[in-house]
Amino acid sequence: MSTTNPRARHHVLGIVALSLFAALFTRLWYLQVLTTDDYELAARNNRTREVISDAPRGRILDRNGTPLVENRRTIQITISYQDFTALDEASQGEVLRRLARELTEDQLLRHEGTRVENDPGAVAPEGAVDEEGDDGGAVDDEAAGATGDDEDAAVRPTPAGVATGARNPDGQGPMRREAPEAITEDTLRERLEDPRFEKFKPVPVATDVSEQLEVYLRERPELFPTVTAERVTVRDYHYGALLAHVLGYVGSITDTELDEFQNPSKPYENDDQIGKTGIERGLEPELRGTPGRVVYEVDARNRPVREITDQRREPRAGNDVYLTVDINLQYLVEKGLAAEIERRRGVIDDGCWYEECDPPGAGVVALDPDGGEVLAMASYPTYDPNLFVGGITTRDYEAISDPEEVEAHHDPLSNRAIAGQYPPGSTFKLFSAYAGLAADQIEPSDIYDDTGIYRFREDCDTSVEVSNCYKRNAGRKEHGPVDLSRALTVSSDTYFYKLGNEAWLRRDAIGDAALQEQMELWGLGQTSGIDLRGEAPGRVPTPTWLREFSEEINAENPDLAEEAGTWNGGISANTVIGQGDVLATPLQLANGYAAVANGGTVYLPQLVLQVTKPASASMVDAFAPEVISEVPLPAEWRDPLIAGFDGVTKPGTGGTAATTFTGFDQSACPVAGKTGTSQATDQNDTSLFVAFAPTHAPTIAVSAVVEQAGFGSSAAVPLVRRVLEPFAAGGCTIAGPDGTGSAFPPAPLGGWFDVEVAMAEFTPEVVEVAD
Amino acid sequence: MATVPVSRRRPLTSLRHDPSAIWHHIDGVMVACLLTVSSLGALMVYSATRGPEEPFNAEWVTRQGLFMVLGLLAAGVVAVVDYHKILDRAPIVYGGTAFLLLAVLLVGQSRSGTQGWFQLGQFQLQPSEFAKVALILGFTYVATQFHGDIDLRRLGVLLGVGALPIVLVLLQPDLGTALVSVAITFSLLVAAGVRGRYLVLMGLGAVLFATLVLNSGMLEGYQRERLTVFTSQERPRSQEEARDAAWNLEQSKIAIGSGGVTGKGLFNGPQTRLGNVPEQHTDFIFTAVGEELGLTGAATLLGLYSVIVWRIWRTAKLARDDAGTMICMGVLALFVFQIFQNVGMTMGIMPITGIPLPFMSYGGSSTIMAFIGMGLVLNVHMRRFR
Repeated sequence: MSTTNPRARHHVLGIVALSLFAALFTRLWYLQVLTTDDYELAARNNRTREVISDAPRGRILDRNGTPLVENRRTIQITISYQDFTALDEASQGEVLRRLARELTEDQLLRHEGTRVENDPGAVAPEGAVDEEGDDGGAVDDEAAGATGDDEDAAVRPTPAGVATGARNPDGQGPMRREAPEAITEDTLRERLEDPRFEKFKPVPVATDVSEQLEVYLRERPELFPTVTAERVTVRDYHYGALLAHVLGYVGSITDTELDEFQNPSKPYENDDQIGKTGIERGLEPELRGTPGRVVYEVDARNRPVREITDQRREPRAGNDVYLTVDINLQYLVEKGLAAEIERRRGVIDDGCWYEECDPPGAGVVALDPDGGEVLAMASYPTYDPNLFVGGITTRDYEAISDPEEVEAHHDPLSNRAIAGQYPPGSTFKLFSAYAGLAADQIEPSDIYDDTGIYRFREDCDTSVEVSNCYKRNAGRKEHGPVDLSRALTVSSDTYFYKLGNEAWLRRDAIGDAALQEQMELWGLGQTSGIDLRGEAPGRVPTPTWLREFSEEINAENPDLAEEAGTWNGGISANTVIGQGDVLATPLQLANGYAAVANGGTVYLPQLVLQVTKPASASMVDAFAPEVISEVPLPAEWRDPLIAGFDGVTKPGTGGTAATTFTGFDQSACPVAGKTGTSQATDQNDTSLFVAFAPTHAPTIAVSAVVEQAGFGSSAAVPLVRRVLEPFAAGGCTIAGPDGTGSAFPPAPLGGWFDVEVAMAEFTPEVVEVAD
Repeated sequence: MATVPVSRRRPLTSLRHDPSAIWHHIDGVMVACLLTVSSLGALMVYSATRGPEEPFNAEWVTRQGLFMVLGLLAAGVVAVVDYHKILDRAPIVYGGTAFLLLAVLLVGQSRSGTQGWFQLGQFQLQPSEFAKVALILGFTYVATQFHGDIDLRRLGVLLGVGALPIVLVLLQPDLGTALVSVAITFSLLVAAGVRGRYLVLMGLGAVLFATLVLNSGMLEGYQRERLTVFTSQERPRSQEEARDAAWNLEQSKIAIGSGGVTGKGLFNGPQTRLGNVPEQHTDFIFTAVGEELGLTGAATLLGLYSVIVWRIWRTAKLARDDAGTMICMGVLALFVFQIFQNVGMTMGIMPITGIPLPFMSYGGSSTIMAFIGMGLVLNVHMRRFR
């Protein structure tokens, strides 16, 4: 570069120019060839926006096709976030203030009863929901028109009488409802900015408002810019608290659920509703509708430019789920349950020695022994799933779930029928008797002389009031010579003490858990796999279990662990009569007795009868009976067992339920069963009864467990009688007179009943039978 | 090749016509390339401004067509008048432009923080565009007086000639034009025959100066942001981030990158059609080419530019005198740097500064200026034998 000649120097500039162009070309190559896929993706995300419209959930119906859960339209106030933010500061405040005032007033009027939440009726499941687009007005008008013509749509009757629901778990009149808090500009603004709501969709600020408010808002668009009253679909539980634990409820999807349930055919949005418990959860994939989708191409300001029509998907309603439950039977069960609990409340007598009877809970299961269909399933206390519609308020949720307040609400959300684990008491003797037979420890015809006392040692001094070496029958009864049938009928404890102790003494020959192995065949100590979450396994204690359990809880103290963890004849005897560490759920008890009733087949308890396409008979899935296990049950074992259970309810046999069944005409439909009373320290006895009917060709098996309600015959037996007497009257079948429909009178919508009236329907004779 | 083939070996006396008649020496290749590129430019302006749906908006492309006609006329005038005569009037052009630059600071219109426009009826005049040509003419006028013999005092004079418009443009502030003017000045210094060691020293000085400027408070916040955003090449992580300084660059890269080899097709680029790239019809017109015509179209465009640059370079070599060479070198620097800067910024290898892509971007002043620059080169080319 020594020359100063301009002409010689332009080569340098030429080279510079060339390299700059080369650099540009290289970069162009990099962007358009090497990394073009990344940018292609970015461009696609840049230019399209999906608008998702929800599809109605499928319905839930009972075995006869009675709709239990449908969808209803409600009026929701929404604010279009994007349009709203385009308003200037002053008018934003003005709109919110005005709206807050109207909402508060509407709320007050509804509270007073001057206005009612509008219920435009159930939506036909095949009907598509409004597209949440800019044409909302037109659709709203159509919906309004449809409401007028649709007078016969399901309208819930004014609640008369007492609820079974959370509003009134104790039958003490409607739950006190406090006056709603005023809605302010700030609450609305918070709601608008709530990150749970996608800003691309209108943000819902109030649900279940009255039609008057809807009309008021629609007539004054100039006062309420960006505010829309639209009709949305929510869940409607027609029978209120009835069957609540089986039906479950829906709620906003969580991140974890989003991960678990997300799928391409029925995709979820992060503000979707999802089944939380019960069938709503268990059959979520069926009930879930297919959301509609409209894909728009948008410009840089997110304004839709055109629709990409080939990506459009119309919303489709979810499938209908038919349950095996008969809602009318369920009504009988829940009514009987509430009535018996009220009847026992405040009493101090049989089994309620410790304090005044105050049963905190109960569980009832009714099964069809032939196939395992669940005909009714109830848990007390219960709650109204309608509370969860539109999002349960924090106050309401705490009232039924606050762990600090279990004493007050007794955990209505828990399904005691499958999750309540109770010592089964004498109802366990079915399984003990079978185990004794199968382990070759007893013969049906063996006669045992029940003197009311069983001595674990020959030299035991029975004059000592409290001793470890002998055990007495409950109620200090003496039953005299008994065979197996008689031992069951009168509930001889000493017969079974002998079995338990002697099986333990012969452990070297037959194994130390010989009886327990036979018991487990009946499905005890394990979950069944029913379509509900939260099922408890129960427990059949064995020497091994006891040792491990003791080591676990007495880890600090090896000596105590050794002492408390050592099995002996007394523990064995106690186990055989269903006390101590034995635990079973009402479902397991019902299923076990169903098995003995049907000849030894343990079925998987079934809640779902069939799944069909929305509002049509077109079957998607029909459920066939599923066998969990077969219990070898030859006639020479089964007949004495059945005979023993049959005697329990018959007059003149000394049966433990005979008195309570006085006046029950069993000629057409004989009932077999077994009572139980389980004891726990420092509380009243728990009352149990498991029954099946008719004795020799059973069509129903029922178990009832009423916590801390006294002897089996005090609460559980009358409860079961309240169910079985109408059942027997209806011909001892679940099907109606002409073979279809329900055998029972229809349950009222809302599931309401008056506890006083229900109590008056049946008053059992005073009973004295301990078992 | 040229529409009128001319061989320098042909004996001049054998020609029937005046062999030095300028019409025989028009650079046809260059003219063809110019017309092709500017037509493509109009097409892309239309694509970027027609809107996503019918009825399409043809307002912008109509105006751009008008600018092209005006530009062609201006180029014709500039090409016909002997460049020596033009150079003789360079002081007036230079002085006049300096006056306009001063005036625009006082009475000009402001657009996105830069005060650089005169409102003339419905059109805007951007004097900084013309300052680039004025700079070339003024510099050449002075430098040719020195006949390649440049001592430090003369170097100072030349630097002063370059610095005046640069400072005035920076005051608007129009960083892009200032940077281009620096490139032009440097290139003209090379062409004028400034000693190598001075050039190296000045290069180092410029780097030092730029560093100081970037780190001092002299630049507006947005300018520094735009200058430095290209150094961070990661994708924006969130919508919010995308909305800030990196938004332009990101959308621009998405448009070009998603074009791939063959492009989305004319009028069919979603980024272009939906207006995702800001300033797409002006400074970011290259993204429309990249997205809709792909590597094929963008590389062809760069190829056409290369041909034009080659023809300018060739004219510089063939020019009859130092003045012609320097004019061409100035225009060459103007073009090369402006193309590199503009295309480079759309692809994220140069900072984002508001300068147009010659013959492609929508804009009256820039289009007419580009044609005038080409007119000067054609002028030199036509008169290389006289």
